[in-house]
Amino acid sequence: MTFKRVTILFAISIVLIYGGLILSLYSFFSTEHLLNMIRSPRILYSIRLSIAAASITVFFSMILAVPAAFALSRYNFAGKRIVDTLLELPLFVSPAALGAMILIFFNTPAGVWVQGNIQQFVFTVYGIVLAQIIAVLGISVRLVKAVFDEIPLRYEAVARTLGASPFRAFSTVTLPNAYKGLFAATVLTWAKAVGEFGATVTVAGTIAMRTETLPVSIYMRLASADIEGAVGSIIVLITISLLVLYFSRLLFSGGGYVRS
Amino acid sequence: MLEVKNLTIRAGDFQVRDISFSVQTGSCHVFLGPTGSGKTLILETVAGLRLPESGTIYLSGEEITSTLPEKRKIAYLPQDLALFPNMTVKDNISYSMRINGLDKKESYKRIKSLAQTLEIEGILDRSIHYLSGGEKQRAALARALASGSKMMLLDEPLSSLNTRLRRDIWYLLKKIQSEHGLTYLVVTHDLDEASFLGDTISIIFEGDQLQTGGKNSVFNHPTSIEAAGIVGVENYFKGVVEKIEENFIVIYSEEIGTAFKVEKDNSAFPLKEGAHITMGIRANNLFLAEPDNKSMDTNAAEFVVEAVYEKGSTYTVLLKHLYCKDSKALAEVFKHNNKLSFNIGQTVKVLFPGEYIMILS
Repeated sequence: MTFKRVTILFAISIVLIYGGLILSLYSFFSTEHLLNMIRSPRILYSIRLSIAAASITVFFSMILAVPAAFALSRYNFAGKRIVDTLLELPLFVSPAALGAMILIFFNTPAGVWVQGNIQQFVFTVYGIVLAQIIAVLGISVRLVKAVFDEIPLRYEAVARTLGASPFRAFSTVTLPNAYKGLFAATVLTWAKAVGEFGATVTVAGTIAMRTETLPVSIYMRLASADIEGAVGSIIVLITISLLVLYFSRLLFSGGGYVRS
Repeated sequence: MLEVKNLTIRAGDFQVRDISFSVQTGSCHVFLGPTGSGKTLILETVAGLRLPESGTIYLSGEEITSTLPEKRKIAYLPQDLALFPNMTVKDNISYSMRINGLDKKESYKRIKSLAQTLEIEGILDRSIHYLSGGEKQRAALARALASGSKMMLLDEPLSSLNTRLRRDIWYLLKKIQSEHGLTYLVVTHDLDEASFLGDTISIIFEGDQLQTGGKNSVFNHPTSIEAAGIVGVENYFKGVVEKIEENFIVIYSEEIGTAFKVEKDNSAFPLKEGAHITMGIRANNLFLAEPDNKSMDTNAAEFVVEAVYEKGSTYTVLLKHLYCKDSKALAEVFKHNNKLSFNIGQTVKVLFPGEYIMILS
């Protein structure tokens, strides 16, 4: 068997693992139940809340991630290594721990002040967005940094010798050349936020029709032994995420093919 | 005029040390040296993309050592040209004009005139992804010229082109230099390119400036073995100074088994009798003749043909000394001037003309 075939076999085996898990949902699947569920105000609320919260999360995450990733990609500065390491915090600290850290912060004098004078986060929709931002920010900075790393520094260098300030060089040359990668990073961040559970449930709780995102809905239905309901929520979540990922890939398809 | 004094630049563990040179307005200064010797670092520092550890840079009498690159008015063409991929050729050319808020009418006029000069009128609306190597060069030159900079830094910009296209661009560079009064600072490791474009040359080797001077002086009188290697000197022989006369130096080379009469001007430093030195001579400065040729008795020795390679209009002949087998020489002979037939194993007389022998150390 050629090396090419072995690698393809590995790729297919991954599809089989996830495909098998998705297919297993069929054991508890009922079309009628799913159709009734999709029409129910509770699941519609969860869909709307999940999409809205993930979209707001992505908006704020990218606003923070783009300049931060650019700095990490282009400049050397004191503490760069610490920042770089901390960005991996969401990767090695469980989302529940991140959520617990947010809750603990809101019990400190600074957190109490924020909740009292700026915005109540704990057990609210704002808490969902905050928890998602904390959970996905590190990953989105990593993704965006990888995009900037791919764009040669020489473009900015030449732009500057042609009279552009660092910001003009960034906005007229780097950013337009990074848009495909930035879009992909945005979509992946969004998908990650839509499926976020641990931090969300710790900060915002499980309040039906209030802080019930799709992952929270799955948890709540499982907890009340509503397996068919949980399956319905899983299918809705998977369908939304896959559709977004598929259409974004379709929009910017091309590349990545190496002839053997 | 560009004047650089005692520039020291650090990049990680690598350092370029104590670089000084000046470039007259309207002339071309070439940095010649092997890859990784620090030539690009010098160019980037002059462009303002890198701050030096020490030293000063003056442009038209004004110190610009720490001036931002956008304020220097020095155009920079990196090796891959860095044409902006998100723009058409026209947008690339007009980039500096848009950035500097130039009037659209004026901008259009300038693009049209540059496109005519560089013969790229037909590709102005094309994406840079669909340009040939030569078209890319011309587009990048037009973009640099459009900025109005009179100083242009070229970092091996022709290295990816074939010989014919490269020559075309050399002529073009010369043409726009005289038309626009440009001053060039060129980085290359190509001897032909350095020789064609350069008025003055600096030889850079492992971060050190080995030699700087006029093109002919650097090419014909390298002052060290390293510099001689970089300017393409192929043959080296050790010797001892036997006698110093008014115009000549007599050097005996044990490895060739003969004494050479060398012009005194060919030594860049004072010599003493008894000094051990290294001589160098280019392959195309050696003359080959039949072993019984009586007109070639001084500065000559007998060698055996070891190999012959045909290279365009020349033969490259690898020679081995008749008696001292470790002593080898490389000769380059024009085919049409040559009456000898070079058979492997054949003995030939090799003349080392005194005016071409360089005393290197």
